[in-house]
Amino acid sequence: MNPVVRYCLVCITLGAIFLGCTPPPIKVGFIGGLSGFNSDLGISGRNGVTLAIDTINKKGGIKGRKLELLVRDDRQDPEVAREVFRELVNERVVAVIGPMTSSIAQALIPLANETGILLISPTVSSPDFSGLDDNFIRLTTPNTNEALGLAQESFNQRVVKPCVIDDLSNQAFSKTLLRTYTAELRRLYEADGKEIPVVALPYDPDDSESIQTLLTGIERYQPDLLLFTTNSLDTAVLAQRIRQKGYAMPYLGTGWSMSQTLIENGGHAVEGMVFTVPFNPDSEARSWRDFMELYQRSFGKDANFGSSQGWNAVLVLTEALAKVSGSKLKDAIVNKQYEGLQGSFYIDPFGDPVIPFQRLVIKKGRLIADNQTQP
Amino acid sequence: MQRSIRHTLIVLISLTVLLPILVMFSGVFISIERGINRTVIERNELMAKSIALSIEQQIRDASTLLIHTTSYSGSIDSSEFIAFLESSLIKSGIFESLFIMNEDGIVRYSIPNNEIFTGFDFSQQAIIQQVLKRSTTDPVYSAVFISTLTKNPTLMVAVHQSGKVFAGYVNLAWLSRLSDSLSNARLTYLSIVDRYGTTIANTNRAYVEEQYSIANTDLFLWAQKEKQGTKLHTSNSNDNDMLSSVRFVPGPDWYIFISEPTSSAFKATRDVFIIGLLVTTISLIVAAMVGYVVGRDMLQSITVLTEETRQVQAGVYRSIASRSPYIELNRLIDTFNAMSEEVRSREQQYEEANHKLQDALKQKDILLREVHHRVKNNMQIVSSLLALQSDELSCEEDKEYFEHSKLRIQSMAIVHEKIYQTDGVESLPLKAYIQDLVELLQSNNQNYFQYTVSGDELSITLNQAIPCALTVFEACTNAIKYGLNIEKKYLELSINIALREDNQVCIHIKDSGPGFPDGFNPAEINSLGFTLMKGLMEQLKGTISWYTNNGAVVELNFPLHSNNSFSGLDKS
Repeated sequence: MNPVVRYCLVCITLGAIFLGCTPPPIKVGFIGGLSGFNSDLGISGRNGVTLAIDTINKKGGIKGRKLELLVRDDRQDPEVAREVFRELVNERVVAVIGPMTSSIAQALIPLANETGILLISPTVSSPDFSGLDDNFIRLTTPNTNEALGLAQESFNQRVVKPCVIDDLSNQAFSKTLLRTYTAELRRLYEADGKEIPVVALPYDPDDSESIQTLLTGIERYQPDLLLFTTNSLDTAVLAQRIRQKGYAMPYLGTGWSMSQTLIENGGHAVEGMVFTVPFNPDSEARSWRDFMELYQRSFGKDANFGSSQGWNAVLVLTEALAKVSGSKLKDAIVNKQYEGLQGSFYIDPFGDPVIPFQRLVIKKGRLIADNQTQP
Repeated sequence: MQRSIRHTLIVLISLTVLLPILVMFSGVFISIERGINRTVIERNELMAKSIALSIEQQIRDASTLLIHTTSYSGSIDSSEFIAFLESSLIKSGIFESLFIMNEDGIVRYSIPNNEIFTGFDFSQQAIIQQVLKRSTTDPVYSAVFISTLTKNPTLMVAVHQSGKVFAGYVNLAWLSRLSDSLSNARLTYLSIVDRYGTTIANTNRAYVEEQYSIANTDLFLWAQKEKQGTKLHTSNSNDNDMLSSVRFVPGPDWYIFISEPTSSAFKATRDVFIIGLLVTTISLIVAAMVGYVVGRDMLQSITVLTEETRQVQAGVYRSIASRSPYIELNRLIDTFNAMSEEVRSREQQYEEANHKLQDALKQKDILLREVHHRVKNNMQIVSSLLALQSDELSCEEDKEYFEHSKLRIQSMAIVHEKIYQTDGVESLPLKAYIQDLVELLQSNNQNYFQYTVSGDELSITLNQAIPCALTVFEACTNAIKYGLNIEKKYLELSINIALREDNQVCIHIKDSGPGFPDGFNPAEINSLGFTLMKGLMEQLKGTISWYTNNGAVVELNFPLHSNNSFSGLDKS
């Protein structure tokens, strides 16, 4: 064979081999409630994660390797969540971002400990998972902090008959919030030499009769403050139905329900609703403004708490992936300061974040940050 | 480079058959491929267009129905008006629910569930705020969302007229059913996304429920820009190469995608290619087989010819009996047969002539030996005659001359004796000859002496043998005569023969005597022996030298001639 032809063939073959040697992508899992009534938090979280991963991939990925997101819907069902988690483990993901709710986290943390796959939840806030040296990291402070803020808000309004609407579909979240809220409120009143009863009215979104039972309970008890532990759409509908009955008591909400869905479907009924959350939709931080613009352009909606936390979860994971991999991921994440979309936050050695809280109020259809910062 | 006729024939026949087939196949394939590809793309684009027009029309019909139905200036307090709206919009199945709102976005009436939603405030919803700003009855479409009641993708159509806002919820479950029905054996997929890239209809319902977004894909960015057309891209979900045709639906601002894996879309093209490849391969095999068969017939004759040529080289002459189907090869076979016969005939003649020559040579050899034998005998007779004559002489000096002459003649006779005793008649072994010569001298000498003859075994021609023999004879005679130790009566004579690399024969004759006297000059003493030796050496084109080295040493050097070489030698 002619040497020139042979040389060309060798070059072409080697070129083809080297071109074919694209490094395999790093697989990252996502688990969230993407269907059903409680899907808005899961979908916004997934959207935030997707945008973050797309942005990183456009910049060349991690050490030249692209990130591949594998999305799974837990359908708010612990059994489905376990099944999809095992699927992701079989797909050899390096970590799973999610879940978005405490009840699903309760089902997945034992599996994460067993398989060694790190769970990074953007929004799970039950205090049951605090202070544990496990394979679980979260980016939201425990809702005990939120409950403390809400109790202080109730105390400031000098309410005498506060009532908590207890969501039976996410008890890992609602029960701990209720317990902390009640204890803190009683402590505040006792310090003032008074006693305060806190009534919890159960609400089951899967039971069509539950709303009527709840309205009957409110009618009988006549509370002067309502704290909703329900999701955004349920909170909006319940708020409207209660206002429909002529009640004008102030509303308190949680980070779970705080979204555009709540405002759009709650209308005037949710005006004045107060939240104490580690999130400020009116933040002037440049990174948050850029993210808001990108999110609106991509999905035609405003970015919210879930999407912001989804972005931050990818940020935390990829910073660690740039340094280590596998079982050392957790060590690389904890005990470190991060620059999130709305400012810096710290993740303690147990994988719990420390983030300053904001008092937010719905005014004229918008969430407005109050100047008064809660502890 | 050497080529095989068999391979050349196969390649030639294959090319002759293949080239037209390949040209035809390429032409047909290219035209079919273009035709099929165009047809597939046109089919998908047409499907997307038809669906887009159908959806657009249905949405427009729903909007028109909402506008016209609600233009009736009835009061919501009128049960007749409510019944009319319910039967026209809800029971007809076009809308799943209807909200009638006042200018503040507060629900005044809801069909169904009026008791639940009356009083609800929807003023914060973007679509309500948008439609309230409108002074015309043009409809406003919401983004598609998942209904809390039906869990299906739903579109809200809102119109503002008669001081009210009428918002109808269109259940879009039929889009997914449309997608299911259009899926052609899971090969063609219909997918509809809203203006933000969120899936609102897909064969996979999970994409709809999970509001799967393609907002950041190249496909959607291209669709937003082009509005219609076909794009080849890689699927996000399974990395397959896909062919997607898109069509924009104005109004709700949706995008209809008809997607098909390229493996399915261009299956017909691939089939044509495979069939063509198969036909070409079969043609190649057939052509190669034909080439092989044709080549085998030709090569069979050529192989026989090659084998018979080898036999001719080995001296076997045969005629080729087999015939080839080809005239040219038969001519070649006939020519070979004639050539073989001719060579065989000539070889026979040569052999006979050779036998005659051998016989003649044998005769000549016998005759020569006989001549040498007779010459030797004659010399012996001459020698004997000289011996008889010398007996009659009284002078010892004369007797010595006679004796020398006798020995010289005998030394020459030995040459002839050696000649006819050896195999050849042209040369004789020099070492054996000198051995015999010294023995002759010893047997004719009264004084005993020891001698050694050593050195190389070499043959010398008759022409050189006699001068050489006489020279050695003279040298040895001198050594015996002058080298003898009188007191001890002892002489040691050593003769060494060497053939040097330059083909010079060196005969080294040494005695154990006192050597040459100082100032010895053979010319001055007028020695017959030395004069004879010099003359003989000149005849041999050689040299003679002498010196003393623990005895007298005589060295003879002359060039050795081969049997057939007579150059420079006097044949006389």
